[in-house]
Amino acid sequence: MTTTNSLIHSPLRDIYPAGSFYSAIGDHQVAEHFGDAESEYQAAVSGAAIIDHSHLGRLAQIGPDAIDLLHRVTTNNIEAIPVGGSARTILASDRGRVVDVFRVVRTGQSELLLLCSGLFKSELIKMIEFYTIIEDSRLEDVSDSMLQLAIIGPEAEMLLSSMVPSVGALGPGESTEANGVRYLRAGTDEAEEFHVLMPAGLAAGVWRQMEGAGFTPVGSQTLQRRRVDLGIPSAGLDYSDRTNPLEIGLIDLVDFAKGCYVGQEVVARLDAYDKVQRTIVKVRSDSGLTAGDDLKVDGRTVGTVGSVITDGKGVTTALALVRNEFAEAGVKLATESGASVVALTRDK
Amino acid sequence: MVTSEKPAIPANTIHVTAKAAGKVRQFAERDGMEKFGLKVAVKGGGCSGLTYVLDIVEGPEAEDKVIEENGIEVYVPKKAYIYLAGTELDFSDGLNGKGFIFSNPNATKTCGCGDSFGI
Repeated sequence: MTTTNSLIHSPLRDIYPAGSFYSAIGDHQVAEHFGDAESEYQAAVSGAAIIDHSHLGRLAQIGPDAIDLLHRVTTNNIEAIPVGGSARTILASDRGRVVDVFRVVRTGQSELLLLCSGLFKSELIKMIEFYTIIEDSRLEDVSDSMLQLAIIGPEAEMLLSSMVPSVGALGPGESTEANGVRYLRAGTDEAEEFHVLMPAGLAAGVWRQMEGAGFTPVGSQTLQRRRVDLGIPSAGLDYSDRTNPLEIGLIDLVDFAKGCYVGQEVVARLDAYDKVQRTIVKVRSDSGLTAGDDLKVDGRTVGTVGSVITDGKGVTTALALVRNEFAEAGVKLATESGASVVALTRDK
Repeated sequence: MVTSEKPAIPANTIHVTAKAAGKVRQFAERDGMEKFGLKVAVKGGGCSGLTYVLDIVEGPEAEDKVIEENGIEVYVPKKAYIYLAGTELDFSDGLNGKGFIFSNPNATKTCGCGDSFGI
């Protein structure tokens, strides 16, 4: 990857469609849209779309103790992942706060690929290396040598299967390889999504091939809109080292039966004694909202705004972390400046 | 009133009490091991981030620090030693006993079960 004006830009930038509009995520320049954000969004919700995810983090963890190590330090059952399979998991601090949420792909008997956020990658590396003491396991940042695309939309599977037939047989979290490219089913019943992982040298060819097959290139704005639609929290906006996994709706990534992992005592106590005090809700306002805005009731702060999208009429929809007693549809909240905000649904 | 203070464990060693050493010897004899030592190490994981590892082994590995305590040899991997220097290993038996117990001056936090610690 190369750097321009201190931002790292994607190796695929040169083949992006004309009219691309850029913004920054962390220290990466990303395509926000390619000239027509609304059409891109429509492709993502009713057709098939392709997104450049090169700005996200990719780590290879290799060695006989790699699986055991990640199983011991993260929330999900890593030992249960078969070769070719994957699972999302969370590395939490010993205080039960999120370090990062990431997907572990078992690419070999003792080889894992960690698909993490770009923003918290450094902290994730630092913590995994801290916990690697006597283990025979090494961690390598392969973010530059391996690129990642995402494919989304209700027609994504059909279109992808026409190019790579083995994709159609993949179960949730499973992956298949064809011509040096790994295709991984990462979506849910609610929202189809595939990750496409390949050596950097193949990425431009794969992008062109998919564009030619009918996938619409979409930018980060479409992804953000879709995430807010689906209530999916994002690194840095909706969770950080001040958030516990349960309040951001990631209880499915916690295996309560597997035994100890870092932060387990805190997370188990929060769950067992029903001590989770905040929850992610979708909120809406006719005035602008910004990530980090406090949400108040009678002058008291009861929540914080996270991911934000604004439509063409200036209506803002956002994910917000709100105290449970105010996290109900119809509850009226306000920003510091007095703008009116309404909570929508608790989970969507 | 009479008070007594336990002598401080030198920060550059690991102390195994006579009771813990006797228990290690008992386990080794039960398993028919003539030559043995106690491997004490640390690995990532557990509620507080780091977990103690105990194992009875036939001898040290090349990178192990070897300490002799109460008639048994203790093997500590060099990478784990910085987390364990100054630690006392004791044994608590009986119905309410906790088994081997670590008193680690480097630990700033210990989880409820005592197997995991943070620094």
